[in-house]
Amino acid sequence: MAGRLVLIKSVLQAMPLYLFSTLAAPKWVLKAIRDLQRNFLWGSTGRNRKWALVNWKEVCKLKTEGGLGLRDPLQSNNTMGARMWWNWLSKPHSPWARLWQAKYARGSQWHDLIRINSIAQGSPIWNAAKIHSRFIQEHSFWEIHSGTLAKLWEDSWQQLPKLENLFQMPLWQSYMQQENLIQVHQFWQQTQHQEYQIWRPANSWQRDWASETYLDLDQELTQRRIRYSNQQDKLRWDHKHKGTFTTKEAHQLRYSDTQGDQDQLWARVWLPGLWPKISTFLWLLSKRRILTWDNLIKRGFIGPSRCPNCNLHTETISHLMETCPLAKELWEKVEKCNKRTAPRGEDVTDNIRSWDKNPFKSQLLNTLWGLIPGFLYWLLWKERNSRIFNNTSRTTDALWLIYKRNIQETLAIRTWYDTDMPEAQQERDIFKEWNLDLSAFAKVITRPPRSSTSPSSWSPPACNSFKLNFDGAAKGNPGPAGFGGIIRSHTGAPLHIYYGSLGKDTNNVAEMEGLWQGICLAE
Amino acid sequence: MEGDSLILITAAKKIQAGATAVKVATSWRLLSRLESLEAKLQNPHSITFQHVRRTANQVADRMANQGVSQTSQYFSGSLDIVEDEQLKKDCIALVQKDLSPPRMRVVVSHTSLWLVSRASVRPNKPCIPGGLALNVTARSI
Repeated sequence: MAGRLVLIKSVLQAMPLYLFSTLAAPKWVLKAIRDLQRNFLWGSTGRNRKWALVNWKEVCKLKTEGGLGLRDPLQSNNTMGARMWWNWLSKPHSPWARLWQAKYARGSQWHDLIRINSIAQGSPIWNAAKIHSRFIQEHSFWEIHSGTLAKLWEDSWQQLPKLENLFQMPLWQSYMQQENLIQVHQFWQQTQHQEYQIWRPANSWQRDWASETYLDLDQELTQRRIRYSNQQDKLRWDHKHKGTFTTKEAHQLRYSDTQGDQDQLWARVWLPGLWPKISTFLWLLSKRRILTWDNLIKRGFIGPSRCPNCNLHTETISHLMETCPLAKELWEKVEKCNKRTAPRGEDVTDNIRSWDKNPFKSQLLNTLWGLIPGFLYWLLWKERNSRIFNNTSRTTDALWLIYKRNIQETLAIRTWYDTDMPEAQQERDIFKEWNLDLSAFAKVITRPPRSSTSPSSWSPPACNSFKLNFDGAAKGNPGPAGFGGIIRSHTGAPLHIYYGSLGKDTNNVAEMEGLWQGICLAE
Repeated sequence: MEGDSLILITAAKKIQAGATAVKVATSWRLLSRLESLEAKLQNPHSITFQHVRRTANQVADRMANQGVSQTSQYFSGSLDIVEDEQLKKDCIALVQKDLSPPRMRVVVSHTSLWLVSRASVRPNKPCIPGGLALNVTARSI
């Protein structure tokens, strides 16, 4: 199933993207694509039907929210349509964007397109994109440079909510419009020259209200940290990362269920380093959908219901994985080996959820501890299937050896065979118990070379060259920030120095400003 | 090594190698500045970016701290016209220090002595089989 999941993501989901990027596909096409993906995931073919063990909606959730991270074709189609609309807004000089503007938004400047409300019917491509205008409008903002394009009240700017939503004040808005304070730069010019006057109503209670509101507004505007320049304002995508539209972010924004905290269970299931097939099995197990006899009976299957591992009790998930004598023996070995009690309730999902995270000081042992439940559940499931379908069984010791070998190999790959003995005596004992001599596996792969170190003393540049040393600093992130630098010749003589303050800003921006000013001066 | 500078220098190197600013930026506030840098690097300049440790960047470090302590000032010019006497004195001292040959102090972090059985034990440091080898790992500060 893990392999099929990869194939769906890389082939079945990728193939229709080109079509989706330009057209709103008909519903029957989307349904046909969805059926193809679903049947392939669960292994159904035309003649050989298989059960879909988990609801498709659940499958299409993010991995952190309990799904497999697949994208429903309808959702993909919508996201690609939104991308089309974003491209129109952010690339106004491309020929197709100019054609659209001439055809559907005649008389509007490109920076007004973000606020378009009444949209004409048009070509199929236009129709596919235009339905996402509101979504884009709600999740974009202006990055202020000259302040000539962004509107003070109506637009979101500097990644903060619109002022008209923050301050529900028609009187203020009408005052602003009356004073010609429509765009950000107009407001800025007036406040810079101290021409800005507070609206002063006649009644005292209104006056109090207005001055309080003004303070709020002033504080709000100060928080937006604008640094004016001669460049044009830029339209940015309002989400977590870079300010540019990505389909992944748009998809998450639109379809992820962000209500409440994320369940730690899924972080344990999709643990880095765990084999994909084991992670996928753990996912099914956590959803209690693996086909043990109790689940088969629910689906109308009639047959023997004894656990094949002990042949004593009725087979249920909790019995097979926790209370069966074979499982108990293996769990006891794990606890003895790690000198630590594992969470051992009857509910497998709760046990995975409450599995300790990083209980050891040694990083290697923490990695090992994280791998334990996945490998053990998977081994028990394989043994159960082997006893039913192949009629072969292995002893507990044989299973334990296989289990240890699997974990050792996985750790060897994770650590590039480079392990240090832990310092604490108890952890050293665990290390020996597991026989973590990972160098035994070091046959093929060698560790990648480490990057070279940076020079620790200043050296002059080559003849006829200059050297710029720059730095940025911020007390806090963000906090009071500054930058500075020096340009020196090949003799080491200082040619030019510079420093400046940035007000409240982040460390990265301070560094960047230092570099930028230095390069400008060097020119 | 300083983390912040390393992030920026890595981004600048990637842009110089042909990556776009969008690919390497970590935030939209950094993106606009990286876009400006990208445009600037398209001019035929020969710029080599190199990350250095704080000890090799002391003058710039002092300048940046001066920038933080200032509230709304920007200074750019030669060292001679700096008005702040303390800053001027510090800068001259640090520039002189950079020009003087580095004072070497060796810190021995690992020493071991063993009998060399084969010449190929340490291929990068040839030694005579049958003799004694002193393995010293040292670093200068």
